[in-house]
Amino acid sequence: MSLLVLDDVKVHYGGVRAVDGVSFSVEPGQLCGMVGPNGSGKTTTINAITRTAKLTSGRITFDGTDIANVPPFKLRRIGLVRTFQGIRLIPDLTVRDNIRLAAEQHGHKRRKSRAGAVTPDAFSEALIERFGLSDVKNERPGALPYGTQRRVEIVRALSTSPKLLLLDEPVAGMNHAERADIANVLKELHAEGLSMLIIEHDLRMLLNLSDHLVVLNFGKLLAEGEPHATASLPDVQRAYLGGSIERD
Amino acid sequence: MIDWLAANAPLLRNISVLALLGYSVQLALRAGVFSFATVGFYAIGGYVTANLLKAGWNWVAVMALVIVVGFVFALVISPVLNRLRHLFLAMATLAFTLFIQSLALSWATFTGGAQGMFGVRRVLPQGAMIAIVVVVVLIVWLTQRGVLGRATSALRHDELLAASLGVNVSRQQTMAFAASSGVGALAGFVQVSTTGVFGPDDISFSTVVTSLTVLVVGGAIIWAGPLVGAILVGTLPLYLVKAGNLSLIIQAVVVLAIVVYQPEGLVGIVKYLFSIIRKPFRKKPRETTAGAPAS
Repeated sequence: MSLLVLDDVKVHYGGVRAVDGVSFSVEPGQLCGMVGPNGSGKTTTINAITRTAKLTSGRITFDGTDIANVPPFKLRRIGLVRTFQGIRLIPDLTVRDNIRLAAEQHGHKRRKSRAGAVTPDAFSEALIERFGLSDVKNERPGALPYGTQRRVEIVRALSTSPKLLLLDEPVAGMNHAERADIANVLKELHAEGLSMLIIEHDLRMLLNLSDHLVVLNFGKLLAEGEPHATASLPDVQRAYLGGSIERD
Repeated sequence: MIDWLAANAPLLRNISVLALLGYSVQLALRAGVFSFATVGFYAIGGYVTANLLKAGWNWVAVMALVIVVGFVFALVISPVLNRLRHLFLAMATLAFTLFIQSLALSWATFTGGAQGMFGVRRVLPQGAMIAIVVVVVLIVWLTQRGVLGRATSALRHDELLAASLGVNVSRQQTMAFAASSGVGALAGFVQVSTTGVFGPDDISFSTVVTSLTVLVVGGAIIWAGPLVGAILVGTLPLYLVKAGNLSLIIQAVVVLAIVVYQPEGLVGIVKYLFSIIRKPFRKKPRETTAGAPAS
């Protein structure tokens, strides 16, 4: 059974068809990349999945559950967690507390988790250690380099033990070293079997990481499939490399 | 010490009520709810206390009931407030306070109308009054730490993020508003049970402004803020008596200076000084990655 299924999903704002009949699925353990030009509906699709954008029509099921009636705060409980396009860390809290905040919402009496820890505190500490944040765990996010802030965001999302991690442009605005750093983290998580849906403009990075590629254009699904084959399609090349594609 | 407490009883009472009003506003604000309803609940607490004490109730029972009334009343109106955000929420809570003020004037059989309630038994011992404030301060301090503290920080900064991490935004904000209302009502109880009088002047718009001033001067988010703010706002007028008509202007300048130059309030200044002292002893973080965002 697919982990996430979008079936003819539409999100319209008045006359604007931000997402217009998109259908695709993410399989367990899959790293699915999502690309498309600016305004193609990528972030709106993730917003629809996380219920921050209202569906005009269509159906989204996660792990067999129709999420239409699941409040946004309960999505985390069923294993669906996202990061945002802009960094959203709580400035008042230290790195450790930002991560603990998420782990705590997952519940105090956690069963044995991936890191082998039991309590949210121990689980957070294990993640902090594993992802090289020990030196900065008592710092406030504002004092950290951009790439480190992104890493904290990803670790915070991981502290909820998600079944599917939705990442909205995780390397946007980063330099080469920072991109490579985050790419390694994602590769590691993928190797462990974590399912991910990643929106990214860096097509080269997605081709290296993902095992399925979804291409959106003008709110519609332009193509999907094996990453290299999909990226080579003439329609995808035209849409992504600046050529124009007439809207239906 | 006892002599000092007895000699300064009015000052301590004033500071206690101001601190409770400040904490009432802060409890809601920390969860991202900008509420002017504090004074409305202060009025409810005051009038309920006056009537029950006149009817011969025990003050402990009155205090417990007043807190419950404030808490439950807030839960009743919170479904409406939950639909509002930012300026609209602030305006709705202000409208609630104005409604209670109007009701206090028109419902004379319960409130004494324009004359207010007087001749109420002054039953609250000074020690108990101080204990009430200490307990509220402790509760606020505890809720700013740990799981609840982190969740309310997230709520205040970013509701969308908080929800995405599993925080039940609606429930947490409702509970914060209810706690704020309970403390507001408690302030009314303390005022009536220590002065024996309560009337429209106690719940005028200037009380709304004063409760916000306490918060801004002391520190809007930090747990000690309202207490420090109440001490300053409560004692400053005493030291400015000689300034006569200029005293209000001086108070306004002090408040304005704090708002402009130290938005975190007086407690923020103390924190800043501590951070300067601690700076040389702190370990510098190792930079794991370099550079700033390109865009």
